[in-house]
Amino acid sequence: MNIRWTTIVFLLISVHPALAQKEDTDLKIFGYFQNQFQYNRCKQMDQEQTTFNLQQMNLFLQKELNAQWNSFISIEFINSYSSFYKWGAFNLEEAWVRYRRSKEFNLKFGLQVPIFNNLNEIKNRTPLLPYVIRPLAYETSFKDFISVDELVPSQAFIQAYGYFPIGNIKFDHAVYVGNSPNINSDTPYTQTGVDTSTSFLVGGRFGLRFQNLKIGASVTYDKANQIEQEIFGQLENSVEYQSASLDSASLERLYNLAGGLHEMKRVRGGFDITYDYRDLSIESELISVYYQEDLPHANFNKHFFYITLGYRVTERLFTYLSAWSTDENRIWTDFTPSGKIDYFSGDVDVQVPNIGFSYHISDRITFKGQFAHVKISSDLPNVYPTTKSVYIESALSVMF
Amino acid sequence: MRTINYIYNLRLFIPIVITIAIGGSYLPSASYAQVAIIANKSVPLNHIERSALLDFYTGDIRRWDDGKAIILFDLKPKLEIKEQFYKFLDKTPSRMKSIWLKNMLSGEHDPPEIVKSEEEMLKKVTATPGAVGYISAAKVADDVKILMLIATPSNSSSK
Repeated sequence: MNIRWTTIVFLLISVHPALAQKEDTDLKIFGYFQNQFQYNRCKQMDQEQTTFNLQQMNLFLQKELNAQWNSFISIEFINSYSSFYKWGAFNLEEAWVRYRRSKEFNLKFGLQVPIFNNLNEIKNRTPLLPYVIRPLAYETSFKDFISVDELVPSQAFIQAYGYFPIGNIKFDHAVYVGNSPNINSDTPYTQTGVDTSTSFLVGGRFGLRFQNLKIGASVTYDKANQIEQEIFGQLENSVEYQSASLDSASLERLYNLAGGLHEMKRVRGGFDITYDYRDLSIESELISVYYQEDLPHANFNKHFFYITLGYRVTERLFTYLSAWSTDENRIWTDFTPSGKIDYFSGDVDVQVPNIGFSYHISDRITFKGQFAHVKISSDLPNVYPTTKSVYIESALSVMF
Repeated sequence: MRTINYIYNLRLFIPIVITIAIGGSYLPSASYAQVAIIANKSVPLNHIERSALLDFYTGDIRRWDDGKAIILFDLKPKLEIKEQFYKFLDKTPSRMKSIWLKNMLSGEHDPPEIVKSEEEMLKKVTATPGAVGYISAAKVADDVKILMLIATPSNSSSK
């Protein structure tokens, strides 16, 4: 119901932007959308498809409240959002107010995407990115086989940031706090969207900028329950559990296992570098996620890496070669024919070499193309067989 | 482990990048026509360094020392004077545009207002308190301050 009212209010504003502008000339309404055409083929899964998709649409409302205070709202629609057809998703991505005391010190209050490495803040800003499919840690449409939310922080609520110059070098800093990832989305349980634990996400980034070089290191710390929930989810979805064929000793063993995965301490570390020289550019990021758990044969650590080499052919045409890789350790529950439960963990790797271009048709319209080869492999081929897929993408990104 | 191997295999990129980085710093700098950085008379500065000018145009510095907003103007694309100004800042128009877009789409800062001609730039800077812009030195009038003259091959001094 809330979504419905929000949508109605939003539509009223967007249909009559001039009215809003007349009443308060400082209110700015702008945004962008990206339509995509995708062809993908996976030989191993005998799958081939072509599709059009409104990949992303964002609407921004911005108002300078006075010389030091600025407010900003970002509303996001993804994957051809339709509540009627139950497609895609609608998100209130950001709603914050910023106090700017000086270049050294800014303070943001409210729902926001925290600074982590180079891309996190702008991962959904499609006009800024040459990609159609983004580097894996930032590509929400790959959520089914990559733990996107585990690799980078998606939300914070208070953030202090800025930079201080020393000579020709600028030192960037950011520190933030937000909810732990243990957010309730189960309506009958209690209020949704709230943290069900007493822990917080804390994190930050420290970096430097010198001429066309930008580097930084990021870190976050929180306590996560999602692996425990994933295990229970696997259990509840199993035929064995639903048919009550599991013995009590096995169930007890599973609960003990899950108990060891409750509020696991998690540290994310990141490193980013970008460098431009004339028409050439390089950008790269490394992210590692470490969980502290007590299980003897399980490991949930995850790693992500990407590098992009770019060349600006003309002011309008940018081309790039890019390589992405993730390496995740996962846990699976195993239901034996006799109705017993066991668990095992394994390594899932995704590697994506890709090539692409973006062409600025005008200041506000960009056409993009991309070819990507996606290889998913695992050391547990019975659970996760190796697959190789080809993606050919094109997209039109429009700002308004 | 496979990720580490993958990174290891990408080591071939490193010498290329280092070569480009080192080689670039020894290349001769470009030459410029005479471009004047102009400001509204209300601006509390009589001279500006290149690094500060870059900070203005990248949105790193947004207020004058007296707390008033810095209002920036930029020329429309494909004007020669614009290309010379951007060369002086060591930024391509597309790189500068991506910086502005990032500032705008992350709710941080608005891009400069685009004007169609140097005459319009002069009028806007003259009429807008806190404004900064750039035009050909030959077109400067007494109604604005000159914060800097960008060097030319025939006249290499900058004010």
